[in-house]
Amino acid sequence: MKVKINGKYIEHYSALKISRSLDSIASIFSLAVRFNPENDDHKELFKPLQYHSIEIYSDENILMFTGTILNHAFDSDNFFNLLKISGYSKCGILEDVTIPPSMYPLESNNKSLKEIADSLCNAYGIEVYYLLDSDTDVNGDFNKNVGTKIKTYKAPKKKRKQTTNTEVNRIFKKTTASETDSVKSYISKLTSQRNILLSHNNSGDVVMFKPNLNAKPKYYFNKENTLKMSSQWDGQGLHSEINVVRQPSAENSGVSTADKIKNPLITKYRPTTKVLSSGEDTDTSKAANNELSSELKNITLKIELQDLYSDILPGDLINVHNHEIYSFAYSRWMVSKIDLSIDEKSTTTSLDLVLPETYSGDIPKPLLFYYESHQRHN
Amino acid sequence: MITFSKYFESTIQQGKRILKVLQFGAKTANESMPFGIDSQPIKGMTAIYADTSNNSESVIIGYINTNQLSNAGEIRFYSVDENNVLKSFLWLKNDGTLELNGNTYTAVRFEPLQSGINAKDNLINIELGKIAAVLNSLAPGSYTVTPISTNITNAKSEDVKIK
Repeated sequence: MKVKINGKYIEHYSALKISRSLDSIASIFSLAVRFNPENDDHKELFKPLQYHSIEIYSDENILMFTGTILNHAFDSDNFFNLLKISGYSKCGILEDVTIPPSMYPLESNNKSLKEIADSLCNAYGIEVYYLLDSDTDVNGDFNKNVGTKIKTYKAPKKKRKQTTNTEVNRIFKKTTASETDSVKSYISKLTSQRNILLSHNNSGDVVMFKPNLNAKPKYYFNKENTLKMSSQWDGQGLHSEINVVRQPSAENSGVSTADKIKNPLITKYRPTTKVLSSGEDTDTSKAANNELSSELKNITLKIELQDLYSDILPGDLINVHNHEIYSFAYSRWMVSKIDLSIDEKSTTTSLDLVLPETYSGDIPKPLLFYYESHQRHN
Repeated sequence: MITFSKYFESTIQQGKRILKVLQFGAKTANESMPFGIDSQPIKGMTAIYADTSNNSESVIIGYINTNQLSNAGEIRFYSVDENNVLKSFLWLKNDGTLELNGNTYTAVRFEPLQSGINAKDNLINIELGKIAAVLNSLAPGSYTVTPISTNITNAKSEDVKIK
């Protein structure tokens, strides 16, 4: 990999880590570089608090990541020390900043998600890309938008639901940002009401999309082709029935104030109730789906791989089969986080996987079945 | 969160007053009032802005009034012009009186007034009878009494009752 800071390639670096997450716009990176205080270039490139831009390229010279340097850690003692720098993706700034008073009002009436997001992100020099669901290969399209060629996977259009573009152009009757919430937090609240995910492309611009659950899995992993696999099932965070209630509507007295959804994975009666804190009169049903999705984050799979799998990106589907982690049948999982790590000793990729329904709002498919005669074959 | 805001203007949609206020920038909110009270503040008043459990359904739950005079136990309704100058009021006082725009004069009750006028009419008619008797004794047939009857029925407001 190659690293470029403020337009200049860095010759020597080590301990490079890039961590990307689904539904996050602040992917983080860190690396160690040699800092020569006598070198004028170094003095300029590694000057703290300049928020320099950083670009990371693959060995094939494909732009993989565009970010901003936030932190510098200098050390001096009797040994040779490296300067540790870290930061986040270019659009990560949206996690740190609130809407400035110069951009008030905080309330938007009859505006679409697109209008709101464009206005807020463009103020920080960040573009927003809205992906048509029918074309969605999340990662392929991320990069297509900035002219970088990466293999794409397209699902049959006939199985598609409402497109992201329709959703982003649908009007919010009224929405209000908090004075103290970050820009990302506000946009995220809006996208969650539409079951749209936030991420970023390799240029560091924001991307809104719906994951393509019909895409072909990119890889198949089992015990044999991985360094380590583990699964976590947090039963405490899961409920059999999720109720969403909202205060009675001042506008439509006939609208239901409650909806519920059942999680077929939980057969023990464990109900919970949430209050709809944003959205319109009829959003309780959608909110119940969102809550179920959120709870499904309590089921995770972790996979450690030898080498860099830089073609795997958040949102990709992976097939998994390993009896030892209670995956008796081939099951599809979605990459929610990927860590790429390069140092002198090893090059590894670490994946966090979740059920695809975690990001689709759908009811999860049966997962925990097994056959009594099922013999281990991996 | 509950905060102060400055009232700017309002519109009425489907019978509901929607207020535009300045609270960390311009925002709109429904007006919350006791049942049956319909009032519109003047521009610049401090309004109390409150969020509800749904962040797109905020309400104005009251105002910081600047024309208050009531004593303990009293209630007073008033209106002002755009310059916040008092124009009219209804004051329910703690001594049992009710003032309507002032206290210089006293309200009239219809029924006692009607009885009084009827009694007065009767007295006048009796006196007219006496006058007719004298005049007709001097010049027979010169004066015929037409009884006086004062009708104030149309002055009666059936819908407003007082003690």
